[in-house]
Amino acid sequence: MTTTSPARTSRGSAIRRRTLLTPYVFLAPALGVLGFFVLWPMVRALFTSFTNSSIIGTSEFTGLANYERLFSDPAFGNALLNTLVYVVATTPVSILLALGLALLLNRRFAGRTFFRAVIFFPFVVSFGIISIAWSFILDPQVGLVIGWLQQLGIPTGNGLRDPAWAMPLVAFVGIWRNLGFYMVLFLAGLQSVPRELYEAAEIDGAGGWCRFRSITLPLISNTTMFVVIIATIFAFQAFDHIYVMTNGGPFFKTETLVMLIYRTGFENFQMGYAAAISWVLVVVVLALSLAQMAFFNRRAVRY
Amino acid sequence: MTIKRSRGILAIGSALALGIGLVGCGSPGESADGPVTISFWNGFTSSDRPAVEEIVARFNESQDDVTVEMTIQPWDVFYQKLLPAYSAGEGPTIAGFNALQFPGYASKGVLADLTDFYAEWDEAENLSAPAVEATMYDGVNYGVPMSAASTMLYYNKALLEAAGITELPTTLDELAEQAVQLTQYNASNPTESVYGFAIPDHAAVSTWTVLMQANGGGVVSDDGTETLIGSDESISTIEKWADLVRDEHISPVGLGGVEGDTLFSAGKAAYYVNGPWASAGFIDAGVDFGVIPVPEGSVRQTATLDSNNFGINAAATDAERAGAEEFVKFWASVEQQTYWALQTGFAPTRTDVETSALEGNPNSLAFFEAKNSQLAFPGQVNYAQMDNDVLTPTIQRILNGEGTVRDLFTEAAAQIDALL
Amino acid sequence: MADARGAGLRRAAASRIGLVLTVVALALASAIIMLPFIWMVSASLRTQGDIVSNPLTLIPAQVILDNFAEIFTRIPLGRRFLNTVIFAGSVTILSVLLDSAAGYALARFEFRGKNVIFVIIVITLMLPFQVTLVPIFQQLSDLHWINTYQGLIVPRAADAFGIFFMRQFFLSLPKDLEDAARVDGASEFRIWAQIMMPLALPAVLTIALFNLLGNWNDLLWPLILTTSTDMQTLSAGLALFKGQHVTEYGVLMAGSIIALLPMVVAFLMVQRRFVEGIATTGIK
Repeated sequence: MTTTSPARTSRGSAIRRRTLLTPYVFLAPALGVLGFFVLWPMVRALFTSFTNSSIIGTSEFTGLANYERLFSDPAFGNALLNTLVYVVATTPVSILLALGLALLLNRRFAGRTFFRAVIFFPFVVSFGIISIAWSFILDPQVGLVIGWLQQLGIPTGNGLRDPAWAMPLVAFVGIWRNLGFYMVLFLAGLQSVPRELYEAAEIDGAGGWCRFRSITLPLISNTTMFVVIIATIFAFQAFDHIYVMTNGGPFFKTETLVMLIYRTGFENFQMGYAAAISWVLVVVVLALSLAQMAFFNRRAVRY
Repeated sequence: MTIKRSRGILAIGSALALGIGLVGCGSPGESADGPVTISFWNGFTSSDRPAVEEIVARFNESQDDVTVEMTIQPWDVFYQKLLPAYSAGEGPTIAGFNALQFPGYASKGVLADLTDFYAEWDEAENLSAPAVEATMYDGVNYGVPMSAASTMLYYNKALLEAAGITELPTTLDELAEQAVQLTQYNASNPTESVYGFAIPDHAAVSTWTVLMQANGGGVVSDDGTETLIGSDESISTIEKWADLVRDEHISPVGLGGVEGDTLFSAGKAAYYVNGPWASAGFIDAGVDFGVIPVPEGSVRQTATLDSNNFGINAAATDAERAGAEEFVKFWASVEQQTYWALQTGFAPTRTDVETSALEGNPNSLAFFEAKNSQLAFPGQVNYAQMDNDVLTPTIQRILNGEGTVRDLFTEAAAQIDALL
Repeated sequence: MADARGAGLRRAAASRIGLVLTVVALALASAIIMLPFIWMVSASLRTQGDIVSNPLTLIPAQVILDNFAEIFTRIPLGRRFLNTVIFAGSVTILSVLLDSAAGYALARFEFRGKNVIFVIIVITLMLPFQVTLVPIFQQLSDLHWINTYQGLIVPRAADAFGIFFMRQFFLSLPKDLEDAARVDGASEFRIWAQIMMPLALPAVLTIALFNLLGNWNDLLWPLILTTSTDMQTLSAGLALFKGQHVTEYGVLMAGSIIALLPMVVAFLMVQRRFVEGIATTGIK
């Protein structure tokens, strides 16, 4: 009887058994929390969307009535359009700028930490409070930024109260807020790119742009996928600064989907309809995210 | 070293979890024969907060049977939390909030019917009538006045003097004329402009409804049963005033309440309709101002009532209910109302306070004199929708030139009708 | 020979000009980015009357420190600070652990339902809080967890953002990294804790930082789920300076500055660990 073979195969199958169970064990605590405290309320919200609930009191099952209402509701169409405009205006710009800044600030030079801190700073303070500051300095009558722009001869219309300027200003603040956040995410991703690869490429005579395209970009594709998907999701849910700065106005020009959900649910007490709008938002964002995941999975780099 | 670190982190995590159990707080409860603890939520943040806290403290100290635990939070969080809390049985014993919102909540059955309470309370007849009326929904009292304030017309003395105006307006037409005279609009540098009459169109006590009501129009009728916004009086009033804003620039477009306050504080508005809460800020800003009643229109003189009521939880136990009633009576007593008026500049909620007692706060005295005020949307369950979804956007559209007043108001009338 | 050196010098000069231009551009961008903060600092040193009557200037008519003093007297800062540390700190520690474990599982193992679970986790990011607020409130009320620390912390002990991020990071590490350790007999837990987590330090710190920030500044969640004043957090305390009609800019801004200082410290501490890329040669 040999001593090695059975030991090795039994250890091999023991390892295989372990690795079969392990992922589930590692996932269990997080899934437990998410399942009970996040997914279950989401499912409850889905049920609510099939009723005419107004938070309290009796609510009746109304089937797809809320969803049907969405199609003919101009408020929904308006909010959807505003949200799409906001997403398109802020997301690509934020991601590209953040990537550029991350590359720039990944190299050693004096003041690197200072600039990183400055660019990240908008994310450190409470968004609600800094939006109050923005509202004040962008006020068309008394805002000092508006005052300076006027002195430089730059037209600013009626500032945040102007139907044409409200969305651009709100989009600007949205980009301002998240730039440092995405930059730090990219910086973290850049940490995992081995230095030796750059050194080898330089020896081979590869230029900066070539190094970026052939080494950096592929190797941070996991991070890039993350940033693209997260940035899209967050842009679709824009609320905090819009609530403080314009409250969706003037006359709904900056009302995004989440602003509409808030107004419908908490000001008009129509929670069932608000839940329906939310789930439509989920479907739209999910479709987009799945498409983005598919795009990046085809380009995934594993080594 | 890493295993130690991760173990260390786990240790911290569990210690915290244990700590949670030890330090964790319970919610206000009630003991069988000890004092009753009742909860009181409201949104009186900022400068009004000390006065509210003081009166609550005085009540708690003055007797041993009832303890009031008050939680103050910003209004938007308050409203987001109130219904879910009532729904889960975690609602406060007393909720103090805006009278305009009361019909909405009363219609959901979360507020207690206070008819009997009023019948047995002999002080009830001394309460200010408009304030009490603001607690009614469907003919039943659901609240007790907590604060009641009228709006009046603030004016900047320096600006009036500089323009050579010596007589204050008694009619809205005079106000319009003076406003045009006082406006110095600088198109290329709006931040240097001075405005004759600042009129906010959102997040403020509504001035536009008062303009309409004074001329026989309004958004809804005084009894809350009819839509008035489509009436000729409403339309012609707003046509006139919208033209003044758009063409003569007597007011900036798109002002919110806070921006209007800032504008007046910065000395860039000559006339401004607002309530007593703003006067302390204007004094701090060094504005030399005065207040007069809102000028009368072609039909009547009226102003907006901004009032907050106490609502008692319909699901409160008898002991809690009794405690709440005690507190509300204490709040409404002459002594506390005099203190309240002096501290906050609001008028007292009762009419029998001596004017001499209010002399410590001249603004309170002035606002005490305000007459004829009423809620902008009396008894409306769908108040929020009427204001946020119909009136505000419609006015904003008009001021931004997106349609004629007649068309937009007719549309608005249909929407308001649906919400009545 | 001379040509090559000339080309080298030209490249060096060009990169130096490039560097100067870059720094100038960054400095300009920084000024724009910091604008509201500059106003914030200015407002914190001025009286309310000064701020609203001279809104177009950043220079105080008179510098006062009263706003900072008022923060300490008008809200019980100590208790609020403690609540915030307990809440944000616990959530950060717990979620770093749970998220890393989950992310590791999703990245480094093949198992049934992996992709479905991943997508479901990401979906939890997509529904706005306004709509899940009511069911969560009801749920926590049923557990008698309203107004308790556990009610604030446990629902946030894991979050999809962290799981997703850690998964992406673990995906970038070389394949088969664990196999050698497995053959040597190390337990799965040890592999995760002693090999994978140290490698993931930048990512772990990043997630920790974001969780800390998000929860430190969060206003709505702690305020909705607490019903008494002594459970409120710092942001709830600051919100007291915003009235319906009046916003006390000076005090509010002073309070925000105090509240954000610990976060700036946290950020700088995390940043120091970000080096210019790791050396992978030591791993195998």
